[in-house]
Amino acid sequence: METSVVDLIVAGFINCLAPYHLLLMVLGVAGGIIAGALPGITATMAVALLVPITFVMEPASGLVLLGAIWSGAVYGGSNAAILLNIPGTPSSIATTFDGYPMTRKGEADVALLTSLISSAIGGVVGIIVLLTLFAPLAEVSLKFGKPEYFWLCIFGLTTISAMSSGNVVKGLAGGAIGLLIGTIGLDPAAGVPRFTFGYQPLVQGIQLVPALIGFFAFSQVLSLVESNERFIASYRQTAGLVSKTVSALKAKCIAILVRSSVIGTVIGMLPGAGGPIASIIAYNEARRWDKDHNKYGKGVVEGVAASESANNAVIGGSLIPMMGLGIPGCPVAAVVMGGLLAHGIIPGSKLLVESGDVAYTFITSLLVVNFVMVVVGYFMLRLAANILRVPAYYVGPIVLALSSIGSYALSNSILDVTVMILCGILAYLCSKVGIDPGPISLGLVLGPIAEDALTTSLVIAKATGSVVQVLFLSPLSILLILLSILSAFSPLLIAKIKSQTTEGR
Amino acid sequence: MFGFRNAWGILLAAAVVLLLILGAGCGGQSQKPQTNKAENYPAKLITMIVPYDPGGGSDLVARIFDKYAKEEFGNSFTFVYKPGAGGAVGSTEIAKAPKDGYTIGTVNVPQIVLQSLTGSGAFTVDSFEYICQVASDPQVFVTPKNSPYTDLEKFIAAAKANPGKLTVGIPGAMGDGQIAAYMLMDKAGIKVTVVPLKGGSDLLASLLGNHVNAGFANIGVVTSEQEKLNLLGVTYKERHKFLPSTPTFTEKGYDIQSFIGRLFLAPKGMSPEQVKRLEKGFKNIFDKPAFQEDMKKANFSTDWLAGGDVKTYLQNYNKEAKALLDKYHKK
Repeated sequence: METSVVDLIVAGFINCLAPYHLLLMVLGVAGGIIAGALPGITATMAVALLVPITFVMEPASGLVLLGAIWSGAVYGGSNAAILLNIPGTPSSIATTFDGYPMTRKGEADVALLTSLISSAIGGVVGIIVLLTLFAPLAEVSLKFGKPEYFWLCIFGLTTISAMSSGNVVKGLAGGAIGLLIGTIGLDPAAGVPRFTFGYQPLVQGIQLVPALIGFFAFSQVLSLVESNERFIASYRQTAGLVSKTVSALKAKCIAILVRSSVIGTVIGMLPGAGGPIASIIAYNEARRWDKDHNKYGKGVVEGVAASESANNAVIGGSLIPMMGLGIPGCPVAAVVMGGLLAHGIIPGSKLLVESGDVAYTFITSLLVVNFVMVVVGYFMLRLAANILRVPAYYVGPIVLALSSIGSYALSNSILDVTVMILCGILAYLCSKVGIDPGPISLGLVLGPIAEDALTTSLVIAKATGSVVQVLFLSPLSILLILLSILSAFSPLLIAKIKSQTTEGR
Repeated sequence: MFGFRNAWGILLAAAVVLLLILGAGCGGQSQKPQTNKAENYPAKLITMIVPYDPGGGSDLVARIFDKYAKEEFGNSFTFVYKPGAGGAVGSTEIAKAPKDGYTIGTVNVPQIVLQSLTGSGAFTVDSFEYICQVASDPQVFVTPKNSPYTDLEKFIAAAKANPGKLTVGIPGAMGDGQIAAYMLMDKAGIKVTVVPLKGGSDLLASLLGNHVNAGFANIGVVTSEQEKLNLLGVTYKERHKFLPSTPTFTEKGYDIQSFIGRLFLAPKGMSPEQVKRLEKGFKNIFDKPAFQEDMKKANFSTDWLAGGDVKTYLQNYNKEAKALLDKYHKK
């Protein structure tokens, strides 16, 4: 039995190194990077668009292509995040926190290469975990019930307190705005419309992606117009880019890369969490474990490395419950699973017995694709950075056009374009009073997941008769509650300790 | 400086190419406004609204049809996912879609009936033109493998001893699971707490993780993981071909029949010729042996019902469901 798995892995490697598959990977990664970089085309959408094309291919080849696009898109999202402060996919929200300040400092290419290398490392870690441990880990992922999801979201929300140190009230206000926007639409438990003000189309709720495009892209264009600067940031190619970036990563980020990749893999394997939560939590952890918290948000490689390694590690993680149990770990995995099923391959505990050759070709290709991504991404990175050499008065309209098309294309709905514009104006006005789009988007990403988890927990609690028992007393819940408390109050405590020590001197 | 100009050129070229592609994609709609004639229908891509997440049962059935759509209709479908509120959001979207014949959707019986009854969707059974039903999947009542309730008798005895204490997961509020759970309560005279989850995957995860005591799952969802579950009963008139060793509720003395019918439909007001053309096309695909093989592989039991029959069936179901909801769905 043991040898047969090794045989399958070796056969998978040989299969995915075939020239045709390598070509598919190059094309998939390049296409994925472009799709991911464009606001409005998320990784989910890029993969979903390509699923029908894979129907005419061999199952293994189709999956190789899907995996390449997925990896490329998750990395590609960071390009727009770093260069324009616009997360190309929701997974790269946390990348804007330090990526864009780096661009402002003239280090755009360093940030991009950091993102590329970190993404590849995160991707490799996720897949290695998938390859070696997926059967036992799939079982572990089931320990996460609704109460634990609720606390995971709360833990994610505490990031707001860390992100807005010095001005916690404004950060919380931003988070509250996001949570409030997230309540518009159908009540998930009762199925009754709420806060739609009698306007029927709002029943669908405020869709996450157009809102995010508005918060980041549209408001950014407004600021760009207002600032009247000729260029977004000054940009000169960094001499010795590769050696400089690699040595910076080696010196500062090894622990961060390992930790963030593990966080990404673990959160990825929880069905119902996903890339945005993983990268936000990884960013927050990187910041918390660092001796100098205050440098974050001002443009440090550590922030980019944390976010980007985590969101690519999610890929491997989210395939763990899918391969092991037939439960996709994130929306993209769900789309990939649809592709598998359409090929007559049923993910789940029998996958490796019944279609082991295809499954292992897919998994090993996801490993190989990270190396392809570094090469392809490196060639595309300098090209992408040239956007900074385009005068702002061209960039603004281009971003605006892409934002509108992207919002519309999500579900062919003009309402989404309106949502995008209104959210953009809201975020612009909020930034005038010092409320950043980061906390607002966190509220909007996490609010609906938290609400669903909470209402389901309460229904279960009502049956068993004890809210305390269900919601607070499972070991995982206790752990997450403690982590949340620690995360929420540590900035305050640290500030206090610091002021005391300075007074002592 | 040269590199600068070069990059500029590439960027500009890329932008132009992008605009051209997008232009081509959007252009089809405006070019030929008045070609809705039956003989050249469908002349362009048909949008398929799926009111659920990608990868769910409805999506898969539609995707399997999509595989053969190109040879039948000349084009594949464009998939638009509108998940939310157990399909109510997307179904509303289908009801309100343009009637030009280029937007259709897939929904489930009984969701479509239940949501119109509870008012969560802005539609009724009469808001649609029905193309066909292509599959019907009964539910299986399951408990996790390590559960003490290894057969139906044990579960019902436990539920009688602890009214309202046992949790029964269902794939979504106001869906087939809800009616099955109410039928069980009605026929067995028990009370359980119904826990609506977010789709079949969420239900499977909750069952395998022991977060609910039992669940009404769709057959396709459980067959691949059936050795990790106890299968207590099937809500079908006879033993199901996928689960021949699982008893039916009827055998156990409870007359519970409930299943998901997978429908394709269009907004009310689409021309009858177009509906007929689609019905014929779907039937042609349905009759292909390769299609039947694909459906079987993905654990769907095919069951054809033409558009007209679907409508009559739905109107009858409407009455039965209303009675159950009036009895159990009051707070």
